[in-house]
Amino acid sequence: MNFIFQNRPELLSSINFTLAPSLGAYSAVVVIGAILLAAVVVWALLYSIKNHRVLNPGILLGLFSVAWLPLFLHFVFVNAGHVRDGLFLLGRPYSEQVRWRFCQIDAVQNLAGSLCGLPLFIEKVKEYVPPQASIALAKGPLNMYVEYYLADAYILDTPADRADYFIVYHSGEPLAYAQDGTLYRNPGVDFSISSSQESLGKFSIDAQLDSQRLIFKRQK
Amino acid sequence: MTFFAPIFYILSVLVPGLALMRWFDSKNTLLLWTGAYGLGTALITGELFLYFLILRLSFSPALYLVIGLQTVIAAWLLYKKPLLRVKAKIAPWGAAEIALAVIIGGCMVFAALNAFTKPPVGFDSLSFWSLRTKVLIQQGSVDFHPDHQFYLGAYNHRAYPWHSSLAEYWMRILGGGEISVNLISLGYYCALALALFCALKSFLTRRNSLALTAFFVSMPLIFYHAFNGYSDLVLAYYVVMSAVYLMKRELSSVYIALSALFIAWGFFVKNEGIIYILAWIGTMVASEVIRRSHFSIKEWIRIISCLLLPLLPWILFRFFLGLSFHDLPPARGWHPEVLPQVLKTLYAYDNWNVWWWIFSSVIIVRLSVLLRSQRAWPLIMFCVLVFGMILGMYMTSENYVYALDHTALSRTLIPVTALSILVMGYCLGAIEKKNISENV
Repeated sequence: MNFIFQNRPELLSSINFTLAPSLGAYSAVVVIGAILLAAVVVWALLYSIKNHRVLNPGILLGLFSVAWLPLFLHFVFVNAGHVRDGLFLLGRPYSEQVRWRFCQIDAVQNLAGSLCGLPLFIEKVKEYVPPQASIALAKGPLNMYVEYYLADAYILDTPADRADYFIVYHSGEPLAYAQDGTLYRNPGVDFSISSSQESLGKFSIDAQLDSQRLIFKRQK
Repeated sequence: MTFFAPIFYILSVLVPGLALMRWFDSKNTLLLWTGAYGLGTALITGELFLYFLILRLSFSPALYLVIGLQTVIAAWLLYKKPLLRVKAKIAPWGAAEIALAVIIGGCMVFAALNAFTKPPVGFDSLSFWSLRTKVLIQQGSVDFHPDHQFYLGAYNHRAYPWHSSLAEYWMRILGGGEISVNLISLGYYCALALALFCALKSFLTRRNSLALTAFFVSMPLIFYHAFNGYSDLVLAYYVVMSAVYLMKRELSSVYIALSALFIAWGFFVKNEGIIYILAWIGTMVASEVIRRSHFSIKEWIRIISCLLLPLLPWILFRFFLGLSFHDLPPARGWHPEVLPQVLKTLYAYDNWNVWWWIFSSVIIVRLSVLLRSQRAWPLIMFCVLVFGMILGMYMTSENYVYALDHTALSRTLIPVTALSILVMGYCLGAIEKKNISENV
């Protein structure tokens, strides 16, 4: 019965599917479900042969409840833990609730602080970049989140070579920042000229939290 | 979030919703109140759609006035012509029933606690459902310039329907904070549970109805969707409400009209709603041809109007703006590799506890009973058509990638799972009836 008390942390994918706890080497859903299916079929056959009647729905539902119970207890255990952990957030500000949830998921999914650090980075952007400025983002897996939190304060549809600010947040995009302040997309190896290289113009570094989180400001 | 926002929201949704439901069904039942939540929300989002997307107007405080006035008029109509009281003798609750009610209530309390403490962080929620709300609040209108980033409110999925975003918008401009979108999902979760319970009670004992409802509300994926700002559970609500009234079709053609209204609204909730509409039309045509029913012209007009009225504005809007169903470049093909993933999501993942094993076992041992039940077959036909079309969509189109990477497959099956609860109820009800008749 250890599987009932297996923790099931919240992941970003939890909205799409829920993995089952394992029972030995197998999914608990498969093990319990297969036993149930076999039991119902065998019982129904024996019962109807003996009594010339069909199974009582009450009895069937009782049987189903027994099969339901282990995973239901697991569900209660997991969710009681989630509720207990987050209960202190009741009535707390939205920003605090978001930060806590991001950090919980980040810790479980080993996202190296990229999700957890997002609210702080958004605060930094709002501190350094004036409202209604145009911002372009370096391509990155978390851009959707950055855009959501900046959407109400900035113009986000300006191309990078014309935007007032260029933001890098855990981006996988190859970029190079030359000594003269020119920012390049897709640079060649060791700054050699590359055919796909694209100059975005001259920028100064407005704020740098680390190498993954930077705010560039276009030089006038 | 202000304390009053959810109260104003519920009032503005429920009172006009009740007045609308009163047109179709005047008996004051739990099902009527459940339907009122969905119809009332649909009314508000429909009006906001007309205002922002058809008339292309900007926000005006007159919106409060109009919707407030609508609520007052609806309340006055209900006062002048109240709902009919239904005198029902309620039998005392047994220990098992109380335990099951506690489980259902407990799940709802758990969901509510999550709803109040966990802002949505899911991809779909932040990349368009809630983003569109946020942009609409900030800009005060919908952007209709195709070359702008916020064309039709978001960066992507511009062809996605507006129901959830506009419901959130209404909650937000009433004073609800960003987390308030969770309360809309929570409302649908509770309403869906009530709808299932009401429907099940018409062919099962109260205890057995509670048991099946408890199964449903405690399914992990269903529960998780009660507080994450997605639209799959919302679609499930409209599909189930439609199925519930479809099952009552023999009582009155008015119920068919109501069923049409709910199923049509599904297309304004999610694009998949079109699958349910096609299945509904197929089921209705087959059912009425077999029954050789003869509706009057007036009845036909009512049914067709209820189907087209919610559909046409959205279909025409999509048509004139050239909005496609395809998120990915269209690609026809044959993808049998989807099938193992479907089996996995139904029988190996913990999305539904062991529900699909339970369902399969009952279908195996009692398929003949189910097929002989004349009342049940339209529902079964509806479910089979829906499941077949969903499977077909994944196996023959570019959408197969969403099944293989499991980013959408399980969620798409939420309405099907809700429908399967009704099928199971029918099946067990038919068995119950058979036992009774044999004892007599």
